[in-house]
This record gives sequence, structure tokens and C-alpha cells, in this order.
Amino acid sequence: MSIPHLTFVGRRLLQAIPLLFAVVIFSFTILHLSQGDIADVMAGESGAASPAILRDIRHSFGLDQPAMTQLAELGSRVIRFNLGKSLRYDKPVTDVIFERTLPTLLLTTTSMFISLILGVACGAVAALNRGTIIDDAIFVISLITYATPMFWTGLLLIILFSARLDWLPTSGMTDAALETHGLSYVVDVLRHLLLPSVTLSTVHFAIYTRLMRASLLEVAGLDYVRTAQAKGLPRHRILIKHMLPTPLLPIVTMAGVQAGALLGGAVLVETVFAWPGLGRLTYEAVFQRDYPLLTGILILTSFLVVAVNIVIDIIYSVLDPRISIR
Amino acid sequence: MRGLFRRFCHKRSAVFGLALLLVVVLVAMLAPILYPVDAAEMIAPPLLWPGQSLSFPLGTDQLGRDIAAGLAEGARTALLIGIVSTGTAVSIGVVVGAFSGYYAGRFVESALMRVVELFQTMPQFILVLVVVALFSPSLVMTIIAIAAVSWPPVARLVRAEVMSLREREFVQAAVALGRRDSGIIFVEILPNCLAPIVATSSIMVASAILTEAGLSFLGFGDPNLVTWGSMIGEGRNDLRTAWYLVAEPGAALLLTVLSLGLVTEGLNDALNVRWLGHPLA
Repeated sequence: MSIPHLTFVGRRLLQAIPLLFAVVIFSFTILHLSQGDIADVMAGESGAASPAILRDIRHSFGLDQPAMTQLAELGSRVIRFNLGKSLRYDKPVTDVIFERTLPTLLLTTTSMFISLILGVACGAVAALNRGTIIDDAIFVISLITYATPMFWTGLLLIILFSARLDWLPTSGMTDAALETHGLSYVVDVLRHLLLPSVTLSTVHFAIYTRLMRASLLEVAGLDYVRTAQAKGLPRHRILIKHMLPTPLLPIVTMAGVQAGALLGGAVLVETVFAWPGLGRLTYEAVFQRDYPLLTGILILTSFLVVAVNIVIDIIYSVLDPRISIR
Repeated sequence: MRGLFRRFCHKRSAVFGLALLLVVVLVAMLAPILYPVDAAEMIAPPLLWPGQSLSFPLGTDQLGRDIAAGLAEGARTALLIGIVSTGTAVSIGVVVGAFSGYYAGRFVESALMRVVELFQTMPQFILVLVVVALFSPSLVMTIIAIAAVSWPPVARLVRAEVMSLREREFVQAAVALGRRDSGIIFVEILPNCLAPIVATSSIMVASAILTEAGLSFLGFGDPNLVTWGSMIGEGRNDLRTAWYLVAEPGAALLLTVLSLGLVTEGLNDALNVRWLGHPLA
């Protein structure tokens, strides 16, 4: 990477800082407003709600401090990478979250690649066969995959492939009874990964298909493609060398836009398939009103979205030399 | 207007979508007449399969509630939440987009766009889930939360349109005549942005319905309402033995979202709106 590229990356990172602060402040505000009293929840659990105990709990979580002090405290803890203790797990929030981050990244990136590859391929096939029955068929498929609620798709897949055919496992990331190692461990995880990742990719597949088709058709009418045709280049060469690179840019942009949607969708898909990731953790934390953990999840998922978008910007600047990186 | 309708009807898939949507709307409106008994009422033997009893053509659930009545009430809830939250989101988005587009380059714009950026950074569904679950899982809170995360794309769209219209002669003429800014924005500029706003709104209703379904599937819907999502969530426990409990409300969701998608597609063609970033828009 050249010097201008490095300064571009550096500037992009600097630009993200105020946004990340805004995320922290906003997350704090929502949770602070909704909190009611965390001490009530905790004391209610232990069955001892005497005023002295309530005061102790409030004090130990810093809840007796004014809101601004609490926010400043949270800000300084975010910088120090310490988000306090989870109420339910009795472990540091960062530990709980990091345990769950890898499975979610595995699930979301797999889904993203499935939807990207299938979407780009189907979109290209549809555009090349414009107006034919193939185009119509791809249109109908993308329409239905978009309109089907993800959690429902997941349940139907479970009925078909697990309950009826008994081909694939219904839940979790590994088979606890098997205690596999090495290659058989990888195979076990992949078997568990297949249904959830396909489920999560459906909506995104539809988006990429439609985007690919629309941008290919736009390119097809442009002068440089018609010049290539006039020169008598073979069809596949025109397609690969001249037409395909252009739609890559909007596709890459769209992949960035979809980052947040993938994480949101993961909440539903992981709940359906009991996938031990961030999405399921979010559901559990909401259910148990684990405020420190929820603060951490809101902040971390937003940070992930920002990170993905920085990577996308970098890819973009490499792909498209017209983008000024200075 | 009539020309618009004729162009819309040119596309068979759009007409099919509109017909399907009308059926859903009709069922939602007639629900109280068709099923005068509360859909949450236990009125029959539990777990009747579809077709097993003539009076309950779609079967009954674990508690002996009529599924057909549940689907009809679910249609009401889905359309209500979809339409009201989209209406709210579009109003916010239009106002924010119009001001930030008209005052592009000034402080107002950069401040408003930072807010848009914040909302587009935080994963929408997680935000909605946290807000609804922690404040109160009620109809009103669901609508507020969905509206709160759905307006930014509208704001971006309107901002871009307003920025380009602002330079046009008819707007410059209004400026030269000394019209007030708000008059120029709402009377001169915004009516010209109507086409893309209409096309986006119809697909936003669809995604609001899907978001609500996800929430109530997870158990964070309004406990006093029967929704398609909550029916799927409850049916999930008997997935292996009585899969129709999950299949039927899901099919209702699918058909409703599909109809909205087809209508959006038809509107786009009829209004000549370019691709907006939604697969169906």
C-alpha cells in the first residue's frame, strides 16, 4: 500500500471517532431512560429488597451518581476497553461478548459470501437473458426470498432437513456428544453452519441479485461495451473484462450497507438455530435485562458496522482509481 | 392520476400484487365482522389440523384458538403497525431531508446528517428490540421504535432530490420573489419529490411488517394483540408435531410482503423512479 493510501486509511479512522462517541452517548441515553431501577430487578431476584440492600446495589453499579457522571465513567471505560460486569454471567462484559463474537462473525461472513456469490451469478444470468423465462424465474425467486421472513424460513428448513429427512442438526454450533477434534470438528461445525447461514443469506441474496441485474443492464448500453462488441470480441470476453467490473462497485457499497442488517438478522436466526453467537446473546440479555451487557452489545455491534464500512471504503478506493484518496 | 393508474396496470405482476394487497386489507377490515369472538378466546378442541373441522378450516392451536380468526386479527395488527410507523418515519425523513438538502453546506445540514449517520450505524433490528423490550412491549412503543430507525433512508433520498431541485430556475425565481424558505421548500420543492417518496413508502410498510413480526416472534410484541409473528413464535414449540401452526401465519406474512413488493415495483415503473436500493423497489 502506498503512502497516500495509508494516510487515507488513517483519516478514515480519525473520522470514525466522533461517530463512535455518538454511539456510546446514544446507547447510554436509551438504556439510562429505560432502566427504571436495575437495583429493583436484582433485589427482586434475590428476594431481599430492604432499602439498605437497594442502596448498596445502586452504589456498587454507580447508579447513585448523576447521569452525566455515569456517562463520563462509561466513556472512560470504553476507552480502557472495560465495560463492567454482566449481571447474569458475573463475568466482565467484554469477556462474555468476545466469546460470542467469533461464532457470529463465522455465521455472518458465510451468509454474506453465499448471498454475494449466488446473487451476483443469478443477477448476471438474469441480465444476459433479459426478457426470457430465465429472467422471469430469477425475478420470482428473488421476490419470494425477499418477502419470506427469515425466522420462518429457518423453521421450515428445520422441519424439512432435520425433522423429516434427518440430514442436518437443528441447533448449536457443535455436537456436544461427539467431542470431535481436527478435521471432524471442522466438518461438525460446517454441518451446523449450513442451515443458519443459508437462512440468513436469503434476503441479501435477493438484494444482490436485483442490484447486479440492474447495474449490468445499465452498463450494457454504454459506449465502451458497444465498442467492444463492434470490435468483434467474443461474448464471454466482453462480459468478463468489460462489463463485470463496473457493477462490482455498487455491490461492494451495498455489502457495507447490509452489515448492520446482517447483525440484526443474526438475532433472529441465532435464536431459531440456538447458534451461540452475539445475536442469541442479545436476545438473552434483553430477556434478562442485563443492562451492562446490553450497553456492551449496542456499542460493539455499532463498532463492527463502522469497521466494515472502513474496510469497504478502502476496497472501494483500490477498485476505483477515480475516487480521490487524498 | 388516471394515466398513472393505466401505466401501473400495464404490468401484470403489479396488478396481481394490488389484488393480493386488497384481499389482505379487506380481511383486516372485515375481521371484527367475520370473527366477532376475540381471536385470543379458546373456543374449540386444541390442535385441530386444517380441514379436520369445517367450522375451523385452518385448524386450531395448542389452546384451542381459531387460527383463521388469529390470521384475520394479525392482518389488522400488521397493516396498522406497517402503515402508521411508515407514515411517521416518512414525515420525519421528509422534514429532515428537506431542511438538510435546502441548507446544504450549512451547520444545520452537517448536524442533521451526523444524526442520520448515527442511526444508520447502529444495527436497526437490535436497536428496535432493545427499545421495545426495555421500555414496554406495546403497540405504540413498537410503532415509535420502528419509525425511529426507518426515517434515515428517506431523509437521504429527499435530501438528494432537494439539493438538485434547489438549483432549478423555478426555485431561483421563488427566491428572487422573496418567498420565505419554508414556503419554497414545502410549496415549490417537495411536491416535485413525491414520486420517489411514494415508491419508498410502500416498500417501507413491508419492512416494518417484517420487523414487527420478528419482534413478536421473539416474544416482544404487544401481549394484548394477536400477531402473525407471535403465532409463529408460539407454534414453534410444536414444530415437529403440528407444523401448520408455523406454516399458516408465515404464509400470510409472505403473501402480504410479496403484495407490497409487487405494488412497489409497479409504482416504480409507473412513476418512472430509478432503482432505490431495495430489491423490489
